[in-house]
Amino acid sequence: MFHTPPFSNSSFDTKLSITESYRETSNPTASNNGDSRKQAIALEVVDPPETISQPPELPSEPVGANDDLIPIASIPEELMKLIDLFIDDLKQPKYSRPLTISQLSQIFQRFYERFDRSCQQHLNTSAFPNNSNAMLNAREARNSGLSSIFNRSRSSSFRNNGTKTRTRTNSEQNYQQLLTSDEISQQIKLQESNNTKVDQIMDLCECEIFKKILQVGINVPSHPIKQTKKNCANAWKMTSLFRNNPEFFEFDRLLNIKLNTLKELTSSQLLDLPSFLALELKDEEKLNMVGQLLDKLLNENVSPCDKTNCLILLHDKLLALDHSNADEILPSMIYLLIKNPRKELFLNLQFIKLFRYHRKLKEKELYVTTNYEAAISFIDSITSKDILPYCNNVEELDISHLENISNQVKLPSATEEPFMPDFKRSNSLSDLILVGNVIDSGFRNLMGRIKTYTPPPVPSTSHISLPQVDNTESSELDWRRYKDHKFEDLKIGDMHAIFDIYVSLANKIK
Amino acid sequence: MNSNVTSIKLVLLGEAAVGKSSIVLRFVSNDFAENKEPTIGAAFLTQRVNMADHTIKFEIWDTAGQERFASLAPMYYRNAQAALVVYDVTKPQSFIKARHWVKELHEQASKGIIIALVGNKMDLLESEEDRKVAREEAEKLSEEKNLLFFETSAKSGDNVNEVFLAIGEKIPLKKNDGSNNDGLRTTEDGRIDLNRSDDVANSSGCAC
Repeated sequence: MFHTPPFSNSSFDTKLSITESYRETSNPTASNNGDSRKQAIALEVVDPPETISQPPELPSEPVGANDDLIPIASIPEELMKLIDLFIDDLKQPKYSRPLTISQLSQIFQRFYERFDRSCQQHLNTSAFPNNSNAMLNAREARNSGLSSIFNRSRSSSFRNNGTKTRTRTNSEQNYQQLLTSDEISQQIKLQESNNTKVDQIMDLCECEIFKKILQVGINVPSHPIKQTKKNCANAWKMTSLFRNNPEFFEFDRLLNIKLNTLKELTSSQLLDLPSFLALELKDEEKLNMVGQLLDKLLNENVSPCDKTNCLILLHDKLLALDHSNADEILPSMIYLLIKNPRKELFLNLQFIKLFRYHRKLKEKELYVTTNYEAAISFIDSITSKDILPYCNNVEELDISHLENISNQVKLPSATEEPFMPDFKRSNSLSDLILVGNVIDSGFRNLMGRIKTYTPPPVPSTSHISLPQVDNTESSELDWRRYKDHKFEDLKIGDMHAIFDIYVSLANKIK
Repeated sequence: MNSNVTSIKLVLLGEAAVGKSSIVLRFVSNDFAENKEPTIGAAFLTQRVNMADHTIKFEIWDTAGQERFASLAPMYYRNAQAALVVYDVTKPQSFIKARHWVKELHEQASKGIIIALVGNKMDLLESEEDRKVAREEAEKLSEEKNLLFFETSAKSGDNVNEVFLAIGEKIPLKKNDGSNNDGLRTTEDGRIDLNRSDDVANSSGCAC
């Protein structure tokens, strides 16, 4: 360990801290495996815990067990402003064509990331002034970014057996004060608690955004829609959100028809649904009770993070019904969907996938979402051929109707296809904008606008902005002059010219 | 320390009732229970394992084993860094299915996925006659396809933790020293990490 005494804290006994600094610290893994016989690999390198001067909190502590887990009730005001700005920004009529849902999703995701960063900054700046250790504070400021602080505290915690490193770091002591073990653990604790807080605030942020959108309405020329019932508020939101992507509606509609058909077949005893799903129905009554959660998922929850939480709850309930493993949870999910055919199941899935902060859609959230997606995809793929062996009274079946199902499926699965490439393509667009990160942010904004925000069209031509360019012959040359240029190759003069073009276009269009 | 945690997405594949879930339950509830985290039943579980100088957090995705849902498996093994392909040593059919899974994973899963072939239910073998899948056969498959191979008993716990530890050892680590990009230029064991940016990308890209 490369501990040196802090110099700025007068209350610190330097001699003591030096002895402490150069004492070998125990490998934290020791605290975890203890007497575990089977973890030979871990034990081989574990030093016997010999230090007593070690602060008690240094041995690993479950991340979640921090004492600062007081849930954050509201978003700090500074950050709230960002949300307001974002909502305002969304309402600006600055896009020449209606955004597709994946473009919209990317706008949201970018905002989430910005918000995430601001959030960390906010917490770090608000945390350090309270810290009595001024040195720490100064050093934070000197570092290039938050990530480096985080990384450093992470890396330093691993130099457990690092006697070698000590000598090397000493040479740098002149300009870089090193952290004591206390400071390291303190910093790690702080970082962990900050991470937890950021997570909480991010969830709150998502909820807040969608709550606000619900209030202000989704239409760009804002005409306030007053919604008193949550129920219809949500129905309105979901459909409006996807209004530029009719294929999603189509898929959802067909899925709903199919679900209803399957339910009908099941309830009229024609189809043996449990055996079709290889599901052993243990408690049908309770399973159907869980189905009511679907309504909660679809109607009561507004934000994507609430919806994923509801999905998790749904899975927990399913597992609690003796369906204690994965062989049964997927079939019971499918069973549930068929027995409770609801509209917007597919839209909700897409909504979660598109508007949940991607970095947080992981672990069990991702698992339950995948499970939900798999269930929907399974229903999507069911054809009459599949269910025929599980049908009683085959002669009574309306075969044409069944054939119809398989025909219906083909269409949505085809409409689903272009969605993914679209997503990727626009991702590369955002990458392009990211190139601007090296340039100063002001210019980046401009470039972002040129690339993504095409100016609003002349009323008569509602779709593409190219015809307008043809009208403006004088600037046509200029406009096109840079189209084959790479951003990296542009000189300042070129950028000036691009800006001039932008100004003249903006003036013309107004 | 908890900070140096590598998250590994591990997916379980295999015919229904070969004991996929039991293996995981044994793994997370036995000796490793100290770090147990909240889970959602047995379908998604996480478990931390302390290796020599780092911690691996397994995010274990269980899947439905019925043939009917086989086509949905890609959704589950998407972006997985490791897979457990489980068969029942007393059921030849389950071994055939395991072969299929190995093939499919090699063709469709992320490149470099670490696959462990696991013959479960060793406790059912009272005599050699009960065994229906020869150890040699499974070993041969593992050699051909470059798999880890274990025979386990989820019931008794035999060899279960070893499977996960072996996977943990094979996982390419994000380098600890990749994070020393500020004033402290020391590297762990004096190594210089040339692939730093790649590592950062990898580590942030996982689990999504």
